[in-house]
Order: sequence, then structure tokens, then C-alpha cells
Amino acid sequence: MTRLSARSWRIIAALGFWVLIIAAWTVGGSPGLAIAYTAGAWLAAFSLQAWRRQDEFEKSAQKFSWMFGGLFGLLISLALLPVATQPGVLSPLIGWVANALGSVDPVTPAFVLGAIYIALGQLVGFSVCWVGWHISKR
Amino acid sequence: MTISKLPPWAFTLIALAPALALLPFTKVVPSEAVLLWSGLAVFWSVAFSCLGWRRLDETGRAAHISAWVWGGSSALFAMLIVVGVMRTVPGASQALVDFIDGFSKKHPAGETGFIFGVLAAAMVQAVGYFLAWLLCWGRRRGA
Repeated sequence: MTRLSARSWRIIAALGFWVLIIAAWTVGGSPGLAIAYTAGAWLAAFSLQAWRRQDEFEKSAQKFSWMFGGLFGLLISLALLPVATQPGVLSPLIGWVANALGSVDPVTPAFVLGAIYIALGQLVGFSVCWVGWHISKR
Repeated sequence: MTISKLPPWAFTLIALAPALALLPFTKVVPSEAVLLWSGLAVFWSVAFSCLGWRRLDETGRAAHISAWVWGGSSALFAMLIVVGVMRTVPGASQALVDFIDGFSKKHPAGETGFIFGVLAAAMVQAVGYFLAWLLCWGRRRGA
């Protein structure tokens, strides 16, 4: 297990994370939240393992992508706020999160959705930049 | 002193100035104007951050990148954990609900909550980045 490559650790991290997130979403409520925390811990633990196994080229790619791709994703997310806050877009999403969280007030799921929106925006920016980096360097 | 001779930190201050200048007036200025100003402030800060970046040496750039990777992402991660705690601990989200309800009656609670979630995540990340950046420089000066 300790001899796995960085790519294998990354695949384990990503696959496990998304499987657990889907499970959390399906289960919902407090048990779902506990599963979501497990997903976060899983992602952090296995991503760190992958980081340790990576060479400097890969580390540079990830740092560069998180800095510039992530920031670009963040800015795009902010620029798209007028679209995202349209009632026809926002209300169904808040309802979706409220169902998953089992929340009664409208503010908490909206707040959670806002935080997830920022995290996802950066993740998309990071992924695009990371792919671009590899295409341009190889 | 011409603008091309300014040090990188001066560009950072110039980059942040329009966004910070808006903060005291968000309640009195019409929301359309706040939105327009915020959009322009983003473009302004990107332009001046790029100018500041070009003036940085490699050590300074490495400090920024490390701070954003480790400080920013850890803070974002912590933020997502905190919003989960808000859901599970009884009454933990009430202060936020009251604050958001009291902030503006013009917008639906859901919309305001969403914007606060966006801003809180971005600001927590910026704080994490800044702390990591300070730590980075502290270590380098101490070494």
C-alpha cells in the first residue's frame, strides 16, 4: 500500500470522496453530515499522501493550478453571482440543500450553498488550469 | 515617484482600496450601485495585483503561492466544517440568521444567506492565506 504511486493515491482520494459525498447527499440529515465529514477527512488524508509521493514537477503543477486556476475560478464565481442569485436558479438549489440538510430555516442552507459555490468554483478553475498545465508542458 | 517604481506592497494596497472603500456604505448605497462598484473593484484589484506580481522577486512569489495553497485551502476546508457544525449544534446558526435578517429587508433571506456564504468563504480563505503568508515570512526572517 505504501508503494502506491501519487496518481493511485489521487484516484483513491477523489473516488472515495465523491462516493462518500453522494452517499451523504442520499442519506441526508445528521447522518449524512457525518458521512460528508468523513468524505472531507478522506480527501485530506489521501491527498496529503499523494502530495508526499509527487515529484517537484507535479507539485509545481498543483501549486500553480491552485494559485492561478483557483483564483480565476473564484473571480469567475464572483462575476457569475448576478446569474446565480436569480430566483429561478437559487431557490431550487437552496431547496435541494435544505432537503439534504433537513434544515428548517432558509438562511442556513443558503449560507452552506454559498460556501460550497465558492469551493466548487475554485475546484473547477484548478482542474482546468491543471489540465492546461499538463498539455502545455508535455 | 512614478507608478512603475512603486514597491509590490503598494500595488496590493492600491488593489484593495476600492473594495475596502465601499464597505462603510453598503447599507446606504442602492444595491445595484453596490453590485456595479463590486464588479469594477474586482477588475481593479486583478489589474493591480498583476502589476504587483510582476514586481515581486521569486522568493516573494513562492511565499504567496505557498500561503495560498496551504493557508487558503486549509481555511476553506475549515469553513466547510464550520458550516456543518452550524447545522448540527442547536441554536448555532441563530446568530447568523438574526444578523442576515437584520442586514437588509430588501432581499429574501435565502438570497442574502447565499451572498453571505460566498463572502464568508472567500474572506475566511483570504484570512487563512494572510496568516500563512505571515508565517512564511516569519520563518524566512528567523532562519
